[in-house]
Amino acid sequence: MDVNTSKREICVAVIGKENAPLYLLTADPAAELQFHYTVHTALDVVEEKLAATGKTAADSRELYLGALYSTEEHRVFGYATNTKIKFIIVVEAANVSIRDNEIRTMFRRLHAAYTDMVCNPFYLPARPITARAFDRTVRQMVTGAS
Amino acid sequence: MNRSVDPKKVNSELFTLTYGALVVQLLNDLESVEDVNKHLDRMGYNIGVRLVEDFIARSSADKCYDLRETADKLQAAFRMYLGISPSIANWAPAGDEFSLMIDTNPLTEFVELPDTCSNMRYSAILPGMVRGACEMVHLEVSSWFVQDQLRGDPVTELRVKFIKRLEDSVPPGED
Amino acid sequence: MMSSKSKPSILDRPLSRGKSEVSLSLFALLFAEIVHYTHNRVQSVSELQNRLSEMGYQVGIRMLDLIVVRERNLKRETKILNILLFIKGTFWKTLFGKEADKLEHANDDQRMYYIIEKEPLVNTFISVPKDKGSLNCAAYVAGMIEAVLCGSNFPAKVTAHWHKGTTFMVRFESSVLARDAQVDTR
Repeated sequence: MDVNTSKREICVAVIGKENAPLYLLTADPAAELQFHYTVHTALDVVEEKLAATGKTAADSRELYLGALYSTEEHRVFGYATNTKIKFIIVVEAANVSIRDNEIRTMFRRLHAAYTDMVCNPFYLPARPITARAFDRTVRQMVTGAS
Repeated sequence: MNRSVDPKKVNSELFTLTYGALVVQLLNDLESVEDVNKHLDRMGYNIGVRLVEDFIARSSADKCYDLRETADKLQAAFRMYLGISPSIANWAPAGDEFSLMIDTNPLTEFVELPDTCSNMRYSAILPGMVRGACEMVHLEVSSWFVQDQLRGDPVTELRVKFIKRLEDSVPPGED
Repeated sequence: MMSSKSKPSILDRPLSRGKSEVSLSLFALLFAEIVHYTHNRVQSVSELQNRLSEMGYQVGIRMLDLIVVRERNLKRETKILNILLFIKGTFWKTLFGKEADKLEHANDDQRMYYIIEKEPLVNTFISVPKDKGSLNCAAYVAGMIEAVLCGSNFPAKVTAHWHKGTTFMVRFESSVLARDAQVDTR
């Protein structure tokens, strides 16, 4: 794969209130299974962070949870909405230029796209996401195409 | 009716989502998508019949003498009630038919039709309203969608066709 | 501030559309049609209120997400009082253009709160028939409140009653109170 690719994140996942995966998109479809594991591991960290919020100061109630963990290949970030929907974004560890602020913005975009999707009266909450508009938005994020 | 000229407003998302909840409820309750279409049209008719009173009171509208004036009034009503300004286009050569071209339909802001509902006329309340409102000012019209952004058309086009002028139906003895 | 070194993309588009509005008359007439339709399909006042409440829930759960996305600084609420103040304030204002009139805590029941609205907007064009005096169509709004609470992880039951205008009775599950007490002690 081209090293100079402008890809920003390589996997985006949406996880339901009860931790069921609702949506997962990877830049490389062949790696999808691997990312399911990555995301699954990330969820444990998310749960820890969310459980901690009950006891610590107000600033930990932020929706953006920051970096969850890193491996040699990946950095994994998390975000939890007020309705306990979790978003996970995975970027390449090699991609050091990406800033926290940018990740934050991506999550907000994702949250906005998710919300528009939920507002479709035909969407039943907690069901896997098949909406075309949502998929288009996330694909743009993952492939960098606009 | 004694209401202020400046009409009160409500959050359009409350309206949009309420309408969505209604459509889904109808879909759950009724036998077929065709029935849902009919119900929405009927509800629109009922709303139009009552809304026209409100419109006349607020806009101090005169009687319409031809269909072009009616078209202008409909355009003004869309602005007043839905906060959108459709353009008027595609007049039939005989002058008895025109279209309201709607760029952004607030009813469908978030909607993606499921494959099982491909024959649903999601916004059927709108032609119903047009029909109901016109009937109250003694115009019989028919109204339907020619294009719909929900189906991937570039614009939503609502057609209005004049059928006939209705006689004043004052019941005898009540004059 | 975001630097704009990358090409314009989805990330550069504004997050939310401007605040748009429709006329209250149109909304109220639509709501009246919904009540009329629902009334024809049920046997009792309580059944009618339940169905309105369920529809309201569907709207409320979606509004909740919309509001949180739009308001930059919203956080996950973890305290009962804060989520109730959110409903009385931001939520009410977004939907109805004003805060709810009052929020009260029951004296005799820790789990019970009251949100009071003298004239709920949804009742604008509804005239209740005399034989159905107890019917309060603000059950629709009760369903929305319930959605916000349950969606935010504060399971509760919410009902609408004719009292001081309309009173929304909010009864939390006891687990919610237990959790709230825990958060308090830290």
